[in-house]
Amino acid sequence: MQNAAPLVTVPARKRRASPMRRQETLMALLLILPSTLGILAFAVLPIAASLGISVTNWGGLSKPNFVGLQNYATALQDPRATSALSHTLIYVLLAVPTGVLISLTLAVWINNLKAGWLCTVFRTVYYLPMVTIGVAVALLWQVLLAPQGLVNLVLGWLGVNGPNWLGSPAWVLPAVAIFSVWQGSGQGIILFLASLASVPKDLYEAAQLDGAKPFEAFRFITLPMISPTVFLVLVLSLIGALQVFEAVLVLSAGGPGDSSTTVALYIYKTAFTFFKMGYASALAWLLAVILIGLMVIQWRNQSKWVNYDQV
Amino acid sequence: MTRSEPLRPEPLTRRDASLKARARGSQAGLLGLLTLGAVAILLPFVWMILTAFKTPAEAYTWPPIWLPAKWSLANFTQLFDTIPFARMFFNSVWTSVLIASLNILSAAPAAYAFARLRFPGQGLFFGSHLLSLMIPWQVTIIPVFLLIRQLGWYDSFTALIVPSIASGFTVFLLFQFFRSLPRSLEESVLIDGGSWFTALRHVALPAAKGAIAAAWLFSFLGNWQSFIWPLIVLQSSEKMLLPVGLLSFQNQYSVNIPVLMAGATLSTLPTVIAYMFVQRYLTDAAITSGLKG
Repeated sequence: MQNAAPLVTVPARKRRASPMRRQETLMALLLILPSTLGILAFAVLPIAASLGISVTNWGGLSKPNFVGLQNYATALQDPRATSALSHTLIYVLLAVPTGVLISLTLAVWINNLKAGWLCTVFRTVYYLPMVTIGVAVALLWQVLLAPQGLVNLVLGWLGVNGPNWLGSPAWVLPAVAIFSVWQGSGQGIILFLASLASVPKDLYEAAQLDGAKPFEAFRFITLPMISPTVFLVLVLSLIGALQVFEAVLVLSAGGPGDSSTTVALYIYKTAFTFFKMGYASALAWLLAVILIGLMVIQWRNQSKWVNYDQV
Repeated sequence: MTRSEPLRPEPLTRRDASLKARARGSQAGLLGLLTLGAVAILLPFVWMILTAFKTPAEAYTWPPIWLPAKWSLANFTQLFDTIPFARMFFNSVWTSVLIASLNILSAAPAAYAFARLRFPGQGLFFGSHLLSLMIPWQVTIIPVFLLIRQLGWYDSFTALIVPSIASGFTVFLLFQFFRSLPRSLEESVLIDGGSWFTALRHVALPAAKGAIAAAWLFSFLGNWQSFIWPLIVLQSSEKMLLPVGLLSFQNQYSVNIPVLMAGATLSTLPTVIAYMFVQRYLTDAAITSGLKG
């Protein structure tokens, strides 16, 4: 995985004569040309264009008018935007801690298994939902979460009267969170497993000789050693959950009412249902600022933690 | 971790035996808990497949019944009769294969150049690739959509494929690999008077086969699952890919649950089965992708 070395390495060999250098430059530019053209046309320029569009009232067809920071000011007072933000945050609070905790627990359990083939079996099974088409499994969960569905059947066995998950404003976000945890915990599990495999075994042996209980070994050896990965998984889940889109669109279409309309869904509807391209771009930038902030925090921490190199 | 007291050699065979028994017991406990988790993952899939064979009456019964009385393919037949499922499946396959291959063709040389060569503007160009990874899709999707419409590509496969040729993520994945490759072999090519191109073609690329296969699989899967961009730029049903096709199927035809589950089953199983064979490659790439951020 990532280590602290600078991203672009300087060749170790000595400076060559100038014709060699020129040949190297020419060669390099040729090699990066196709990829760089694509990135410039469909990522870098659009970023600039998006900033430009966000200060207009463009509908996508007519001539755009410059409106300054109006869209950003509107966004901060738009009750639908703030309610979309609060739905997103509720979803994040429900899905992220649960998901990280479940994948950490499962990974630690898998890691403690003695039989290697069983580890492979469980890792494979838990990762399965990650290789499916999101819409297909979301449609499946729509069936499972129906008032008379499999989820409520299982809850019934446990003596719990299951709610109308997707049909009630109070339960729709928890329902989406359950689906996301089912679908996404495999990602965290394999990252945790990679990290757990790198914890030196002799630390555990030493602790065992000292009479440490399994939980103490986990608390004082495992957790500190894998803490950078815990943080990484936490940030990745946060970034993913703040952009939740496909799951809500398929499971509940943002409803009932607006009760599961998240920020990403609101941006999508603003742009492609109501064709307010300028306003949607401003909303997208407000979301982007939060997401990029999280990435920067992750990068800062990454270089702070020495343990990171061992992942 | 320092030892507080010296370890005394204790001939406690009985204690050892009980420790072993406890270890076996805890292994059984772990196995039980993990199996419970695996059931939670697999049961929905089992339910999906069973439902795909049920009659509508069986599917809507409460309390639900597990097995259909008669195993019939009627739902699958109805699926193919209602929507161009085979065409959507085929569209998904060929576009995903093509885009993944184009990703590799554009990314491998670029990743190699970024990892090994030195040239002016290197940091800037590599930085652009990283920037494309960081920026959320909500920002770029609007300008790219407007550009596509301006170019007259709306509702065409060109709109799907061309913006996806360059992949910052694939470049990053292969860059990480090339950087970890020992330099010595390429150096010998260069010292013998070979060009960088020879070094890339005859040394670096053969060594990168495994990494390229992993990157290809990862990219294929990403395109196979891709939802929002096809949703925005493809409209006619004969051009739809599976994810959007399934959704529009449910929205437009209000089909019954068993037929819907037949569609979900057919679109889920191929990658799930393929995954069993290539899981190592894929999870390795997924671990590196943890960095994607």
